[in-house]
Amino acid sequence: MKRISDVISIIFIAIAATFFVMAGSFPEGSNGATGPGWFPRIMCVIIILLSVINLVTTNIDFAAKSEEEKQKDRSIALKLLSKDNMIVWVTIIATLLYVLGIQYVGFVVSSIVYMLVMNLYYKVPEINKPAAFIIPFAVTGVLYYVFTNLLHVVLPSGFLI
Amino acid sequence: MITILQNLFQPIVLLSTLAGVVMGIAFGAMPGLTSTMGVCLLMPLTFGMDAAPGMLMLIGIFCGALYGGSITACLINTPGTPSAAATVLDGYPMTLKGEAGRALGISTVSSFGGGIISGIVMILIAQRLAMLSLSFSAPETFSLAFFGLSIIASISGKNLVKGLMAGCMGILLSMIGIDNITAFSRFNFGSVFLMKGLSFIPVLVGLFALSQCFITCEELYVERPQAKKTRNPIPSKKDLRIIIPTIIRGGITGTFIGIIPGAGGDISAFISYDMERRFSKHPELFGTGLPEGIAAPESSNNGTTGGALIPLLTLGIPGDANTAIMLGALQMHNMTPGPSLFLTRLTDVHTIFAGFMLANVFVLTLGLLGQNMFVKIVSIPKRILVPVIMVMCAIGSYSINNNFYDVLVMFIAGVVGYFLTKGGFPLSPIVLALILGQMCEGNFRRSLVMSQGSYKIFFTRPICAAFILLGTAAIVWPLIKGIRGYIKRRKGITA
Repeated sequence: MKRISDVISIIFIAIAATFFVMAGSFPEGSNGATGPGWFPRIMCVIIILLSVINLVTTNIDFAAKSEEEKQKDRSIALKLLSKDNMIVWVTIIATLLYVLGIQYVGFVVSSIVYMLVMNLYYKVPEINKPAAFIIPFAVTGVLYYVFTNLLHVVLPSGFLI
Repeated sequence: MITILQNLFQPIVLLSTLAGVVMGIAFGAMPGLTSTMGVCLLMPLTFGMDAAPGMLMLIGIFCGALYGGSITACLINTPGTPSAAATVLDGYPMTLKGEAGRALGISTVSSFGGGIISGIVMILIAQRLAMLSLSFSAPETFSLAFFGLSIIASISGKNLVKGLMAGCMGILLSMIGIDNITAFSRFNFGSVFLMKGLSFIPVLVGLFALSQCFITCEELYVERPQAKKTRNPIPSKKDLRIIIPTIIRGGITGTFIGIIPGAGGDISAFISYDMERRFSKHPELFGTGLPEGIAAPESSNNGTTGGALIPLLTLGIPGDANTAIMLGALQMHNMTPGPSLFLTRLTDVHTIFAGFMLANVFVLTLGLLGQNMFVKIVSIPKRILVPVIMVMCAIGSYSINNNFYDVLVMFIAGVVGYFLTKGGFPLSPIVLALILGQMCEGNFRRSLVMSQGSYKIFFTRPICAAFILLGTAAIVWPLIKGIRGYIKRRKGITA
């Protein structure tokens, strides 16, 4: 957890520093009011300070831990990249492809394909074979009907539907 | 009185209210669909109706959706609406204990109680209370937002620094887009989409729903504790004894916050949760599945429904996005909100008041009767549920603005939420800060314009000073406690 927390703190510092620099070019305030850059810069300074505090305290705490506790802490970060966690990475990539598919392929086809593929990948047929194949069509059909016909939402159609 | 009852018990009025509540619960329960979206999308259906049944359908959606949000919050750790974000904190842990029915029972009764309290307040002291909140100007609204943000300190749990980091990042992200004081476009990185600012709902759906799906994937084949069906979904006498005082406090708080323009169910739910935790004899148990932890936010967010209707009906000022849409619906029905409404359409107004109470009775009835169906949701295997939730997140995010970029924002927020959770960062502060960030900054700057740059304005107005003092104490006290605890731990290690 320490490693992940450290990386996030560094990313926070980088984001806050970028926003701070950008806010510096915003116009000044008038009539006693602060300009559009004043509040963001205050927030950036606080984020950087808190991130540094977080980096320092977690590292001091980590150094004081026993070797067993250190190993346990390291394992959380290692697990994130391990083979056991592959299912999460595959899900994230599949979801990204699905999100892009909605725009370029169309909601109906991409949703059916996404749910079918994920059901097969998650081994749903092992626990309920009909559900694995019926649910993608049923859910997509119901959602399409409700949103298109009842709610009048124009769903993305892409080059298919 | 007889005329009002005759109007209320007309089949069309009963049916439209019931249909509104059913649709509202469905909208609220589906992650990504909100009460605002429900009210907005279904408003055209009411134009063919008379004023009272049309308005009651919208009010039914409003009340039902605020309750419905708690269903998914309790059962699958995914708040159906932003107002149910605080309900997750104790609702889901209770479900994990195998007490999903109990959690839903408490949330149903609390939502009903909060709604009824706000209805009574609306009927009895509508105009007087609305006048009080009307005296709020920029400094008071800023101080309220500041007080709301101070809650971050108490919802951060043991990770106070991480919670504050997340909260400040949320405030910073809320500043993306056009500055509402100077119309200057901030942090848009050249993107037209970012000029509007980050859409709040996709971020919420991503942080709470999508990231939860990724976390669920880690243990996809490990089935969670099954929620047991409850034969008697009505909360036990013991639970009722515990939650009734909480419901009263939450309902009153929610009503008061609902009256204030811009502050809605999401803010009031967090404030009530925080108040309940602070005044509890066992604050450390909050977050482990306490009845008060569900009752406080649920009574409070449903309390805002009546509160938000008060300035709308009496002064024509919408309290939140839902009532803003209702303002349009009222005008479509030739009902001009404001004092004149009470002079010219008094019967309709009274029918709406009575129908509001009826809508809450429907919430209670449907909530309690539908319990076993809701409990069944959690018995669906996770591996079947995850892809369906993902698709619902995508379509829900898309349909808010019919914008593909909102789906991308939802996806990015989901991935970010996953890694933040892995790093021990709480997600609720980001959401709270995103809601309150602009309100806080905008009113802070407006206040300085009012005072020609003098900061005294925040301390010379009693309500403003009180909220700022309370907010400061709320941040400083946990910080002092945290530093003390840290020093103690360090001493313990070195000894």
